[in-house]
Amino acid sequence: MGDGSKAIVGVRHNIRTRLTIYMVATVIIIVWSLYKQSWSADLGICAREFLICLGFAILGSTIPRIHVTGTLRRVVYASLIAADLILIPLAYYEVAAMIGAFAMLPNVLKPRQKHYGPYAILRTVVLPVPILFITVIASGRLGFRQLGVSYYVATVAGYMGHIIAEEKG
Amino acid sequence: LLKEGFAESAVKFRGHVTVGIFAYFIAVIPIAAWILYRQDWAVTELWRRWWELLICFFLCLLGAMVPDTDIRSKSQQVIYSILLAADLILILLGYYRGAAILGFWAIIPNILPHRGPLHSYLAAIIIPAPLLFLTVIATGRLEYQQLGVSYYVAAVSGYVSHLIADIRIIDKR
Repeated sequence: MGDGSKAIVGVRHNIRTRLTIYMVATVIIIVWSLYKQSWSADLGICAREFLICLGFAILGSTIPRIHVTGTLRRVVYASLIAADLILIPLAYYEVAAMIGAFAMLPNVLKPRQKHYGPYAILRTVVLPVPILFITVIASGRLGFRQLGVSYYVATVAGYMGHIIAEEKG
Repeated sequence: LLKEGFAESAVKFRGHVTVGIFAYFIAVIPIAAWILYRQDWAVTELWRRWWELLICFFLCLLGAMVPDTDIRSKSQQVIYSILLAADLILILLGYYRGAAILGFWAIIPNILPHRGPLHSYLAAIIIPAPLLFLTVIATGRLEYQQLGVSYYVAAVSGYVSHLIADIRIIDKR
């Protein structure tokens, strides 16, 4: 097999892996949304949940590039400022404080030339863990159902999709 | 490239810190004058506020780093480490409102262009302004003697030293 064929197989494998991740993530998000609503499907709530998850997935896909000064970094930070501008006047101080703390993190960490090392996949699972607790903090109730599982899964899917796309593509 | 850029910024960082130290030796004159006036002391008694002079020294150094928070740099790393520590302390103590506002202001330099609004004399005057009122808030007394003039002067001196260094020294290398 020539180099070209190998590359095509690599790209196909890449797309297949990413599609699998997105599909698994979608299934988990649907199941979690239904579980949260005690298995009664309210389309309005589901649609809202999906839109929020899409936002988290996009945010997750931008994480590996947050170190690099550029348009993407500016867009991410501009959206975080917009979120803060909505949350602070509405007195959601807990969530706004968390956003502020997470936004500062990339500035404290050393910039990585190689964001795609052997631990990259592990990082995709570990780094977004605080997202699990955003809804717990926002609601002020400590319960299993209050965990932001759907948001976490969406972020991980977006982040992992980016890593796989750049590593094998 | 990113690592090279960061290494270059480390060189600039050292340069700015050095210039900041020199700036402090100039700023210490008005700082000492303010302390003596406020405390109604003779010059020989200045050593009793050695800790205030030390805080002013560090504020001057931090002031010299602040303009570079709009780019990936060592200065940004130092400033944001302090801000993040303060933010986490506020969150842990339950001061969510303060943490939210601090976090909001801390995000802003990330969307500003390098050597944009942060590299201006207006910013040098405005950004350290909260330091003026920190001591008023801490003591709870609204008197002009309680204003943190010494801290403000130190931070402004550091900030201005950065702007001058950017124009006169580092860019001409």
